[in-house]
Amino acid sequence: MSVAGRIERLRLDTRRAIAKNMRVLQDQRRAAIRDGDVGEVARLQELIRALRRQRNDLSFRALRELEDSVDLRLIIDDLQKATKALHDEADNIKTVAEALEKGAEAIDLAVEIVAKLRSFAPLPV
Amino acid sequence: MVPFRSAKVLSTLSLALGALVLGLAACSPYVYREEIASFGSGVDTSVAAFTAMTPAYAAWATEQRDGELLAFARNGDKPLTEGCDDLELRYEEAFEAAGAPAGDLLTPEDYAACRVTPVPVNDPDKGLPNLEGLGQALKDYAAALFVLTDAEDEAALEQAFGQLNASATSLLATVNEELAARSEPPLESAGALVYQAGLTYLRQRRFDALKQAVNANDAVVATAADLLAEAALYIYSPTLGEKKDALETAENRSAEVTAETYVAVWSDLNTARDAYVAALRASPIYAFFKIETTHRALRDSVNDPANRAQLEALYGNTLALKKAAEAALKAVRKEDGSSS
Repeated sequence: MSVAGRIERLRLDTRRAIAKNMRVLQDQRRAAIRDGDVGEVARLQELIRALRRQRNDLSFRALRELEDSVDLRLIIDDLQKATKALHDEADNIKTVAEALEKGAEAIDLAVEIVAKLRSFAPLPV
Repeated sequence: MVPFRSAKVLSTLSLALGALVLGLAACSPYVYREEIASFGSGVDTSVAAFTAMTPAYAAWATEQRDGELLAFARNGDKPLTEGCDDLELRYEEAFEAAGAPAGDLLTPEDYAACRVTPVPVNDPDKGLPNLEGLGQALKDYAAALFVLTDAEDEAALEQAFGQLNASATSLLATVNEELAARSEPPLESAGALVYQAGLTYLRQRRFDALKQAVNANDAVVATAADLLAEAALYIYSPTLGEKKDALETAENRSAEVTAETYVAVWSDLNTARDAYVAALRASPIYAFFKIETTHRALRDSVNDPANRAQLEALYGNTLALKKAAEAALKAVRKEDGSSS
């Protein structure tokens, strides 16, 4: 879903058309530089800048579409669920540690009982 | 009868626990502790690099909005308000009914209804909350992975087993005293083994959770990183455009170059070329790509923890992620002139 969405957002056809036009203008600009035609260089540079602005505009529009996309919201949900599961498991592990602590207290009691039993009768073989 | 049975139980327990300790010792989440910490740090830095670029979006959205406003002006549309006239009355009525309330007297919808018209489509104040939310979700996930490997719980367990160990030793001493009186061989200490087995059990549990999480979420992390990389591609585009423009501007000076200015023009052109190439190299999309590959390396490694080559691959990936994320952040901060 992401690749298809990305291709759609990128508007590759429009980008390629802009890039192609820019390439033509760049070649003309370099030719004007070689000829020393400063006025023509400046004119062509402005045209190139205008195309670059269009490309930037396209990028920000794509960003806006991505921001509003369902893909993005679904992934945020998935990540939040995964994060919650990890925290829950970490809490469970902590609960196990606490349960073992209770086990230690039970053994303390057992030791006391054994000590008391010893005072009443010798331990059997 | 109880102590004798306890002795037998302890002896059997010792063997069982010993087997458990040996059997599970290889699967420790602590092996991945540093790598996961580095992964989290790489994710944080990458998201910070992305966040540092959002002013470029705000500037564009402002420009768009201003353009729309200019069109409204040309169209003769006057800036007016709507839905604001009843607001104060509603506020007083709500106070009359509720007195000093715990919450707001008006609802968010009430406030939203009071607006300035005409309303442009672009709103720079809206920001990019979903993309920022995605970055935060990815950071939270990496932090939660680290929580699993954090030693804090182990410290609590160590304390618990410290008590257990003391108690078991005391019980063992009582039994051994009696066994010695009857010329029977004493039992070996079981306490340390009990502690090790407990730790191993928890490590195994954490390891299992880690393994399950990275297996289940690998595709999610990959898509999240991919979407953030896509956002970074768009938002970084004007920065690259500026560098290219600077390169062209430097090149345009060649139209009037003379023998006297040749060295300076040539040198400036090289400097501009290097800056353009450096900007391309420091693109934040690489850091997001490395989030994906690092998580994948972690997944491969936890599925075969004894594989040294995979551990090394994971280590290499986390280092690469850290480097790429830091480079991206540095480049972005250099662009906007901030140093922190």
